[in-house]
Amino acid sequence: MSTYKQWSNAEQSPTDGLAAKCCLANFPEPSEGALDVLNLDELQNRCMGNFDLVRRILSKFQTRFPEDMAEMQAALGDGNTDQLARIAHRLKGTAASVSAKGLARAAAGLEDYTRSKSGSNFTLFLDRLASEWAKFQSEADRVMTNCIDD
Amino acid sequence: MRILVVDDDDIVTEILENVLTQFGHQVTSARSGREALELMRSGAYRLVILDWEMEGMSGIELCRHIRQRYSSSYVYIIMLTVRRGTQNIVEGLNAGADDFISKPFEPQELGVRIRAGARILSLDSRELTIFSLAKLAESRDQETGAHLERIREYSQLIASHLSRQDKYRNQLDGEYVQLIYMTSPLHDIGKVGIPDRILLKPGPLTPEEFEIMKQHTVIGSKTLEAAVDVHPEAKFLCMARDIARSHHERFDGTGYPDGLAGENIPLCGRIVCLADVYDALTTRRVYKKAYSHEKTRDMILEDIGSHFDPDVVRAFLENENRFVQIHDRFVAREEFEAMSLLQAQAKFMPELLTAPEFFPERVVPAGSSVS
Repeated sequence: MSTYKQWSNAEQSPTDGLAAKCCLANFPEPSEGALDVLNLDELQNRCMGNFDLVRRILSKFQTRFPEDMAEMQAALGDGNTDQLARIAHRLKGTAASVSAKGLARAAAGLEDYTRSKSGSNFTLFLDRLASEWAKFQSEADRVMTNCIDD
Repeated sequence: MRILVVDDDDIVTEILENVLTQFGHQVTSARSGREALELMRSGAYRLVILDWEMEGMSGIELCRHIRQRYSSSYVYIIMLTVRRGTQNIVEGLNAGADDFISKPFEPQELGVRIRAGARILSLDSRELTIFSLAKLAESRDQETGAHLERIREYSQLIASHLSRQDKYRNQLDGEYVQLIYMTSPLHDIGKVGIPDRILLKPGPLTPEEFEIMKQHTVIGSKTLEAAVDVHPEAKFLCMARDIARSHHERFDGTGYPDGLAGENIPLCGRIVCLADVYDALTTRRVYKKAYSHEKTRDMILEDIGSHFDPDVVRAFLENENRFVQIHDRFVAREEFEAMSLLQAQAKFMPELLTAPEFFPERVVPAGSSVS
């Protein structure tokens, strides 16, 4: 759990100055559950310590997810399960790249269920996705509000 | 290194761009397979990272397209995917992928895999070696200028056209087109075994001298055959051998050294035959002026079915404009090089600039070939 603090120290950051923008020093260490929702540490590593990029990515994802959800609902309404599976697959990849593991698992569940063509209870999976999204959004908001703007 | 990232997910793309840029690479991104293919026409990208699942053209399809298209150098392809399992890996490798990276990727792993790709690409110096060898052989003959550069482009153009025809679709693929580009410069490598008094003779050859000159096809093919014996799996050596031996065969069987006719002449030999003759006719030699494209085309048409394979001639006719473009491009380059040389020499001998006899007559200005 030390790595959360690691990025709060500009001297230890691989991109000096950037991590300092984030006041994570007072940031409580996340629980295992929170890490499953959004592993900021992992995301920062993937962004090479560039916290501006982290913020941009989170913001972009927060804009895109509702669009993806709407697209999936529309595909479901049209009975287009191929399209539903395709969007769920893309969402899985994006969520995993953003280090939102819970969300990625929910998207994977929807994709697998859709591709297996084993039933029509898609709502269950979409609800789970929405629930994971609510957790993610709350965690992402918490991260963003704990950061100092330039 | 210039890297092309192909992914329809803008978030993943942005993260990748950041990592690769920090690793010191120049990154260009494409959001679809079609856009990627368009960008790759520039020939600027030797390493491509592509997503497996994309809307429209999938990563697998894009991979196949890249492999089918001719390229003067190898393109290293890394597939980015959340897919796992042997079946998926086999499918990716069959499509032509070189490596895989799992989503979500780790920057350190990505960096290591790109370095591995760069090492592989650095080994791809075959073409350079072959061309250097051909240039060395050609260096004895001062009159041919950029003959090798032109001939490989003409040959590539014809082969590429034929590869899209139903009759040749199964015989010619992207690899064949790439191989003919690589090996056609070796067509005259056997001339290293021809004595200077014959090779460099400015006037017509006697029948005896011509018999000796004809031996360059045999000398070249035997030399390359020795290499094939050691590396029989090397397709480029086999093609180089076939071209060296058969590029003076004629479609009606009256050529040399074996008097082969029709489709008994290897296709690569039939292609290089036309490319060689076209270039010889449209460029100046000590014994003749450069003929215009139109006159050359008429001469080739006169020999359709006798000297040249009709299919190869048709491919030439379908690509006439591009033949002219290639010719003009090299003539312009030679003219520029000759003028640069003259200007450099004139610094020491200013009288050169006013002495017409020193002007590079051998250079024919673009678009003004003498008919």
